[in-house]
Amino acid sequence: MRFRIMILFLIFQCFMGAYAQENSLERRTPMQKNEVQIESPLDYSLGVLREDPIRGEIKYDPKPEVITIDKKSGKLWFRWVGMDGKTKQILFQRADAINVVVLAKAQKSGNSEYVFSYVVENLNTSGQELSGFLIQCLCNSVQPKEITNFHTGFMGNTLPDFSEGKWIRFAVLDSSKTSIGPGQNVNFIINSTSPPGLVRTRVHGGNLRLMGIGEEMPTELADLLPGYKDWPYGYTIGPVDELAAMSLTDHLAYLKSRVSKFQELGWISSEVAPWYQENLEPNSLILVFQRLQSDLKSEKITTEVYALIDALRSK
Amino acid sequence: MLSAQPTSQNIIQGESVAYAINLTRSNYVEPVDLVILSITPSQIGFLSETTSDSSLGIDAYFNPDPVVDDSSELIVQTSPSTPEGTYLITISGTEVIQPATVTVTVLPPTYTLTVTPKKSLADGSLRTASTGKPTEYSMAEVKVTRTPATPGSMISLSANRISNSGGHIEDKHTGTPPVGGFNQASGTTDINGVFRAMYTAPATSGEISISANSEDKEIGSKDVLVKVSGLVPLASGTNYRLTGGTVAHPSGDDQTGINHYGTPETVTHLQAIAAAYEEMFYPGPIIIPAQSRLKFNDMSLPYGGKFEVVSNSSAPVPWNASSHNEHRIGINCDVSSSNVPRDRRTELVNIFINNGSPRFLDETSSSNHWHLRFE
Repeated sequence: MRFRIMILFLIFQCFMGAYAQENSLERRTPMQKNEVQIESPLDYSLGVLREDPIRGEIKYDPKPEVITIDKKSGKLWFRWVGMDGKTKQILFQRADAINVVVLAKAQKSGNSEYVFSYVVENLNTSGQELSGFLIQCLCNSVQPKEITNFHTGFMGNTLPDFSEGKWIRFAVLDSSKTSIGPGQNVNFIINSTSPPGLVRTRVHGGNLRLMGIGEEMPTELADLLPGYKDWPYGYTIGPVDELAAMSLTDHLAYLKSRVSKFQELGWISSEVAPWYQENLEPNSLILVFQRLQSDLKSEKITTEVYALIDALRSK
Repeated sequence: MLSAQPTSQNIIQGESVAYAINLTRSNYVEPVDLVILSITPSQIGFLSETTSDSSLGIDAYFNPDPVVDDSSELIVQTSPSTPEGTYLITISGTEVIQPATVTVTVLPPTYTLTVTPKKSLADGSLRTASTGKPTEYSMAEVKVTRTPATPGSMISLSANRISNSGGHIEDKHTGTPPVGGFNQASGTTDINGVFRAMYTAPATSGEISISANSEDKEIGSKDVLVKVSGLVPLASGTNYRLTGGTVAHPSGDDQTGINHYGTPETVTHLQAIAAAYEEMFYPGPIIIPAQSRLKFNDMSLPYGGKFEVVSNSSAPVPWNASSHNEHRIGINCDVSSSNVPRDRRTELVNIFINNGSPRFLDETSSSNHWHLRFE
């Protein structure tokens, strides 16, 4: 009899497990990538070696080309014939040969500051180390927590990609001491008095530095350098000033209008998204708070959605 | 009585002109033979019904001659070599007591020279032919129009560099200045009196004077700017130094160096890099010592373009010297590593990355600098 009960219990557990798996979130959406093509230039100009008084310009073919070394790690040679007639090459590593997921939490600390913590996961499918993480802060005051062997700085706000808000960049200073390879993750923390909202994030992988060889590369190769375009991008939560000043109604409207985005990002399951869409209203807020914790535990919402809604308690 | 209408006319070299000649007499006797007495300033003297002066290149004759019905025409034909000036032509005829005079003023033909960029930049300038690869922005149509329209006029074109333009100090250069070139530097006007050629700007920036000649005379010139537009100087700063000047392209902290021009974005990024470096290593009220300030070496020249360099900064530079491959459009700067301690370098390169130069070239091991390339 006990054996039969145990069998029935196991069948029930399997059924419930399958049900939970079907209706819970599997994973946050990995960061997106731009389609950046880096290929040998088809059209290029001849180099000028010197000018001969009789023959005019003495030209030569620099033969600029891009050679793939390893597609998975994004390593390429930028190769050309130098002015001395010898082959020159510079190692270039794409910044986007990584697959990254960012997990974020925000909690209010004792001094009424929000502590934003990020786990940046370099997925097993990546072909290179994670070398940098950037977070957009739509606020005036934010304090990144310094980490040993990481550079912490702000991106120039005159750069078009980083002109909105303040962008904090954490970057590995010495990859021989700190390595975030495929399958590994790293934590970052920032503090701000501003509540959590939807913000952008970027990452980069590999080594951005190009080691020179005493001769600048032909402009046709230099023009292939992608700048920031090959840095994967996505969304996470971060401090947003305007939410602090918003009324409860406006704050709820801000969240409601983004529920489909949260779903797209893998932060809320399709099962519960309609319920939140319907109940993010001032007079339903108690109901929302009541199920928030259980939805987090059952993985129907992620820590990001939890933090975004939980911040309403301060209103 | 002999009269001419009009009495004075202008004529372009090589053209002809006609005067109406009338003979008034009280009674008709017989046809009158008209003659040209003189053409001054050349004193030809009494000639005949027709005359020509090879030294002047003028032909003059009457049509008809003799005059039967008391009217004729004086035709004056000049050649392209007829000297400019006013000529007095005195005419007479048999049984004419009082000669008549007409004047003809010989003028040179007019030529109009236009230089029209194939694709125009906002300020009408031509773009330097970057790395020897001309684009339509670095090409211009040169058009010479002769008025009156005459085919066959010989036209030749030339281009000359205006001294010290584009940030290149002329007397600190050697060799032949780069001036660009024409697809055909000489030719003749077509049936519409037009000669066309295509001019391609040099890779070196500057002001170029394009001249057109005909019959060994300059008939027009136009100055064109060959440049990369929109570059601005990086002014001296309190937390960086401007270095890398040579006699051919001077620099200096106490002046705006002509080797320190860039796009406005580049200038902003460099100032941000210097500020971030100072803030990181000399925080708060500490002022960064002069010897520790970042040294910004070559950027671009005021008009961009080819930036020829030699290792000896006090030696004149051959125009055809090798150059930076980049540093032509205001997006590069070489930052010296000579005064950056090794333990600051990894932070500094991250400051580069944060401020517009994510893909800099590290040349610290071979030539003590980072070659920055801004977005």
